[in-house]
Amino acid sequence: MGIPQFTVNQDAEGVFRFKGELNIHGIEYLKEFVDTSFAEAKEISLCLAEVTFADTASLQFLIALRRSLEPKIKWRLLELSPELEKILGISALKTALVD
Amino acid sequence: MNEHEETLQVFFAETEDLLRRSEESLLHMEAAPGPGPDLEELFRAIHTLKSGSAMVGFNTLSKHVHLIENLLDRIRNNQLPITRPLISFLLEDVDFIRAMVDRCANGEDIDPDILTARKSQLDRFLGIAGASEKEEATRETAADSAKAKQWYYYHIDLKFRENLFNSGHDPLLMLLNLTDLGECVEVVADTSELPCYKEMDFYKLYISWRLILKTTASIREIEDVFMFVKDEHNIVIDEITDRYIEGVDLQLGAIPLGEALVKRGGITKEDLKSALDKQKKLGEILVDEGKINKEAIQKVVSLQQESRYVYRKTSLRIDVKKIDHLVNLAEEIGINLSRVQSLLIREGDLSRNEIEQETENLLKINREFQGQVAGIRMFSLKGTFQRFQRIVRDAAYDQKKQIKVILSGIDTELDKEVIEYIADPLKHLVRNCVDHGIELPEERVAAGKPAEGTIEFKAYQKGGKIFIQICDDGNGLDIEKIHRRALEMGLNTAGEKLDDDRLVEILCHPGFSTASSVTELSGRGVGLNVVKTEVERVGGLMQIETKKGKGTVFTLVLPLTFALTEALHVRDQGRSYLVPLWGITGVEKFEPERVRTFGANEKVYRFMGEYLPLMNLCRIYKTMTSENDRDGTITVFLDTGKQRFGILVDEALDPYKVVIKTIESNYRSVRGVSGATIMGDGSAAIVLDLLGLEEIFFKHSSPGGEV
Repeated sequence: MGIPQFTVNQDAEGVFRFKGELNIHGIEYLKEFVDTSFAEAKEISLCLAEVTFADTASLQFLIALRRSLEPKIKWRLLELSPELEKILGISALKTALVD
Repeated sequence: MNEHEETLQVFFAETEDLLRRSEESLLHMEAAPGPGPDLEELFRAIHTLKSGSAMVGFNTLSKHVHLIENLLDRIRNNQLPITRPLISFLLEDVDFIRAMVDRCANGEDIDPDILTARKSQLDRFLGIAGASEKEEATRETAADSAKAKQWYYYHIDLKFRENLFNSGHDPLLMLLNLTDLGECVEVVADTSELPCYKEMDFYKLYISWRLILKTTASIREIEDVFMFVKDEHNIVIDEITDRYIEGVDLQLGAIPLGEALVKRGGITKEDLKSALDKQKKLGEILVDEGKINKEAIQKVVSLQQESRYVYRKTSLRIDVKKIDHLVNLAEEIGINLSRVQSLLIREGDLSRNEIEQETENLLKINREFQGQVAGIRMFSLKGTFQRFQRIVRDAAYDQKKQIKVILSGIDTELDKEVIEYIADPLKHLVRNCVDHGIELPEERVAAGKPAEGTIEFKAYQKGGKIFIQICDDGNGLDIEKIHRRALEMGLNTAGEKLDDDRLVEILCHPGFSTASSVTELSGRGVGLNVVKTEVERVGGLMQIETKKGKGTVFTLVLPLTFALTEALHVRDQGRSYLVPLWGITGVEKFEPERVRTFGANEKVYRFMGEYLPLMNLCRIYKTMTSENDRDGTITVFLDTGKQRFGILVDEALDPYKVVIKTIESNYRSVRGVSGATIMGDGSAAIVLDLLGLEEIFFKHSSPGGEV
């Protein structure tokens, strides 16, 4: 397992706030986090306002995760950092994560 | 024909032109290797072909041509030397592309295995690049600085292998690098291959992209972004500047919705195939409903294919300037007719001079109009000769012969229909020259000749005839062998002299061949008689001149056009005849004192210092009666290019441009008559065939029919 370059905290409103870089090196860690933290969730709210970079591996991870959710589980991507806005724009993956 | 079909027809016609130009450039490059105008011309042709094929939706073809373009680019940058194997490969590829186009035209798929094999060959050539990367970078910088700022649009297809991450690469970084070079005006991510979360291997890549980049960068700069991944992953970069206009890819309008959805809508080819499989073809629906059987459908499909093929082969691409000229002339005719009409309305003060003047103007414009219409059918022999150049080159290569090809008179124009008729016969003659004419290098050297033989294709116009010559400097025809074989076949008698005419007759006898072996090219004894027959079908004639050890000249004498011919109107014994102007060397009043008589009826007439055979036209066609058995009063002197002679007629009138109608369909072939036409006053006139007349004069043949 690589070393994650991001941190994640859940605020009082249940929003998971990511900070740092999401990349392939921390993907196992991310998976472990998701599998444990989202297992029973009825709503998944993410804030990526402080994510400075996300690579393709992590983006496709998040897309696959979103697609795997049962319809009753709500997915909310609350805020994106400017860097992430640019990345999602260039890669044309924003709709797969945000809409 | 709908708009898409029309676009396709234009594409097919242009493609043939581009391929012909490519072939021509390659043959020039082989003769004079190195960068230059021929390489640039070739590059332009291939580039246009690439864009054109993409525009009409033949993407497999476009991708293949794109690879050739890349290879040419390397040659332009001195990264790849021009060698004979490379030229051979590229010539083969021209044939390959031609075959691909034919398959596309027939709606057939291109066999991916063949395509892959071709690409492997291409890769081998790309793999032998000589220049170092440093040199390449230096050249690029120089080239780039010289290049003016111009926007280019590239369609980039990124389909990476799943293991891309293993090598530490990320498509996102490549996309970011692309944005450093320009603006991604369209990006489509295809996430359809992404498996479900639980089955996903997070270290594999499942997403692919298609994008359009607007940039001032060259294709090489774009390729550099993918420098470390392009060999192992499917990266296709196409310049689409020509078809990406006002933010719209014109190709999208020319392709079916399904393909457009694959390209831009994010569905996969498999999605499309699956959807299409559910859709029934019209033929299947009709068969299921019992309206028609499969065979009947297949028959109509075959007819459609044949019809498209014939359309492609028989349609003409006309220069817009020619059409504009015709439109102007048609307008002038309209204006002049109006003037005549207004003159006629003024009946009271009608001036005969004015009417005559206007009529003369009309006739003048009409003559030009007729000439221009006939000109539409005329095409230069350039394309035909260049095809022969290619045949010689390939055949010489196969037979280990060295042959230089010389082309002269390639701009000589001939009726398209005549060209179609003679293309195959000429091809046979060309092959005959290579196979039997030109010797092997060692044989030539032993005979005191240069190792490299020469075949010259020559065309020129003389009068109203076109002369096409194929001359080789080979060992000539073996007259003794031909004579012996002719004796064996009972075609000749012992001691009979073989002059050029007799030689043609024997060589063109069905089944005649002296070849000891049959080759792919010739020697089957079915060649020359077919050539002669085909040439005679278009009203032409074949001549052969040969000298042992020096070579052979095949000459085809052909009519300029089927449509119109210029002829002098003469009258004899109350009948109208038209004498083609191309053969007339003079018209004079008959002077009996210039006649010399030999034997019973052989007359010669002194003309320009020499005595020429002379005959009354009425005697040739046996139209005289005992009451009017007399000599004509006007002598028309003729030169067929081979013989000179004169005919006597009663009257010589004006020259005409006439449309010749064959008489064979209503009567039968008559020697010395090429057809008939209707004159302005409604009467019929016979159009003389001068080559046939020559036979009557010099071989004492009879016309074989009444006129």
